Amino acid sequence: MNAASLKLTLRVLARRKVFTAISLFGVSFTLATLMVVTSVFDHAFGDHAPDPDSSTTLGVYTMRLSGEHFISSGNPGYGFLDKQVRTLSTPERVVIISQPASGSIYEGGRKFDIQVRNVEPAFWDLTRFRFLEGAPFTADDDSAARQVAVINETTRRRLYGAASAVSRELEFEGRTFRVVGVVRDVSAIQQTTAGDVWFPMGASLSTGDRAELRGGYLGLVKLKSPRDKAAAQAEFATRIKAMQLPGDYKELQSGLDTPFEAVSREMLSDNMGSSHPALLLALAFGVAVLFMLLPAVNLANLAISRALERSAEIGVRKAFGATGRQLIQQLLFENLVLTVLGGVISIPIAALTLALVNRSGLVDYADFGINGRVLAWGLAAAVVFSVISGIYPAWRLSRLEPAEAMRGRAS
Amino acid sequence: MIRHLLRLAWNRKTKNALLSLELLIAFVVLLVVMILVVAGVTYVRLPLGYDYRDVMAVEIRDDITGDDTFSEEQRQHTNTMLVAMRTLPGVVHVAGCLSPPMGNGGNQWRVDGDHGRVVDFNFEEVTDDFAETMDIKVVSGRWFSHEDDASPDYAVVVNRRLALQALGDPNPIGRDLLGDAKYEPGQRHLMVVGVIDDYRKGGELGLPGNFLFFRKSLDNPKDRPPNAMVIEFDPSRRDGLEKRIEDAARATAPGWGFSVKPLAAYRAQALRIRLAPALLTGIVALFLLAMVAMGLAGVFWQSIAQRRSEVGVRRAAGATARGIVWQIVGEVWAMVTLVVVIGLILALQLPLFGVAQMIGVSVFVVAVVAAVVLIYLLAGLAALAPAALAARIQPADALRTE
Repeated sequence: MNAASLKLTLRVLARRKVFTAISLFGVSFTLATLMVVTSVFDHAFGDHAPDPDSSTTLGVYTMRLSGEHFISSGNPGYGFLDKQVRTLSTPERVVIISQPASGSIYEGGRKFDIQVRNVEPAFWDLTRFRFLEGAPFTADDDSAARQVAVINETTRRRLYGAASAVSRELEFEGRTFRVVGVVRDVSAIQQTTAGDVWFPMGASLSTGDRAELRGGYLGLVKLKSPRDKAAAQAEFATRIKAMQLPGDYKELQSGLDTPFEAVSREMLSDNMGSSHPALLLALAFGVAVLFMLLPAVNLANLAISRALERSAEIGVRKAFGATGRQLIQQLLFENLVLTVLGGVISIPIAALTLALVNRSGLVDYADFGINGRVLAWGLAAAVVFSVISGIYPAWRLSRLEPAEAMRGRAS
Repeated sequence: MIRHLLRLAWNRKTKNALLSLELLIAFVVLLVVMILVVAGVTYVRLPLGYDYRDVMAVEIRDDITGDDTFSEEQRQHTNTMLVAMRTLPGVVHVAGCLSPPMGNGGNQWRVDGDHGRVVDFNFEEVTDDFAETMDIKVVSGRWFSHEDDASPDYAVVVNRRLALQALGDPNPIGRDLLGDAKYEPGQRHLMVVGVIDDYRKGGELGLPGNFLFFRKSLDNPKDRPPNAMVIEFDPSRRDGLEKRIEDAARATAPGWGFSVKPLAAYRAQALRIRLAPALLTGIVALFLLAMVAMGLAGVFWQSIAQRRSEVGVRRAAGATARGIVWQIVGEVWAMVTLVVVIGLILALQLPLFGVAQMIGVSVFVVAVVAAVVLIYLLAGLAALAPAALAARIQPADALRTE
């Protein structure tokens, strides 16, 4: 395809402005919706600071304990992570953090609801937080069980206004903590790093939690190199198989996962014994194609009707020896130009929608946006959309009888 | 006339296959939207069965290891805490439960009833003060009390829906919820002591369902202490209440964690969680339908432009402008009718998958009817502008070009 055919295509599109506008509306709305969804996925599972480097960090996110008559599933507990995961030999280091828990800070007679996490000090080395002031708490703070805290910028503003927060105090659960650092807000969709206030594990771990097998914690596992992934997973699998389970528990299922693998383990595996990320991805693509079906059929109908108007042109080209294949190529190309044009229009629409979602408060500290990965997926979606909406009309029009078509009698 | 139009639509079935497919998918989209809308409107109007206003919920993060093993000391902590709450200024009633209403926690149970029936319900374990604290209305029988202390069975209070579904009896006081079902030796029976109007734990937008209360006895050393408390307060003494509650709770159980929030906050969160996905689906669906309407209008426009001479002949033969409009809209509706027939056949498969039972059969029927009406409206609206254009065709003009 060359510049001439592009020019011709644009001419054709400009000739029937209403049809083109209706088609573009459908294309850009469809692609914008897909891009918005892709952006949300990308922020949940993609490599976004301050999450740990995704190529060398795995996590123990989910666990399922089953007995004869009961099943208990959710997050792993501190005791399990401490005894079974920390002692693995393949990883470079293991960091245990708690899930966010809601709590309240009372300051100046007012109550502030916050999400609190207890983390081991190595958490700050593993993650890529930017400190707006102060510094993270240290291994010394942790082992001495010092009551110190890192807060995010929104909590700083709510508690202390515009003033600096380092060395200020906050009261939580009847204890007084000293603020040592302030970090940027993190979108609540980033499950390993989201939170308002972080306390050192040493000052906050309860005796009950210390021995707990299941519930409330996550283990982040840092590998020496990305190549160690399979070895670490195998070691972990052997480890949990060999575990002595207390009480009536018969079986324990868990895995060393990326966040996406963890979700696929929860959604697609009956007993969480295995993870099927490829299947989950395929399902997501399936849903996307299903969503594109109605817009594609709509666009195909419009394309057929628009092209029937040009049946005389098609008839002439056929009469002068154009092959069906050439005609299919031309019509597919026209459709591709239309879809890519719609794709370009869809970028600002998607950006605007994401800005609205960010402001809606649906997700705390949401910072959804469009990045290179989202754009690349958007482009791929545009091409797929162009093919599924263009192939049938192109095939049907290429089969017109030249004589009939020239008389404008095509149907 | 109608039969003629239907035959016309049938004759064009291959030519209109893609258009019909578009209408069919649009019908499915409409059906989904209508199910959401009708279910939402229906559920919002059903009574909750309790009063969430002026109630504070306290979730307790105790230091109990495992789900069921606890020490007598831990149990005593919770009991002292409940007593301490009652003495706080501004507090009216206090009760213990597993998780506060409107929250996202929930417990389900499925048991075999008699005659092969399966009885399933959501349940909650509560202390005797729960009904008073939450203003739950008992419609027959009674709420839990010390009378149940000596009972060898589980005393249970059920909602009316569960009573009717399990036993077909709106007033099954003193009956076993599972009827004549066989119990394993040592298994405790579920004896109904009271029936309540309802308890919609999920809030206004939660699915209405079967609900059952177990009694949690604070005096029984084998009962696990409550994981949460609900505290009814005097709204005129609301200021600083959360802090008073949290401080008093901590004084009785040092080292435990507490989350103190008004139930109104739980409700706002529950509404947000349920409404947001429905709203997003709705917005996307609206855009899809707008796109379909515009697309159909474009296609009809084109097909009428091709039939100018036919319209001209009809006009010359005496058809009125109104007649032409009705003919075109009628042709479109005939095509929609064929689509609706297929769509209904598909929709009627849904009850097989339990969709209708889950959302309620009446909601399902209303949603299907609404979707059918709307697909006719949508297609009719898309045909109207092109049809009006066709009605303006002058016979002389149209026939001259032939």
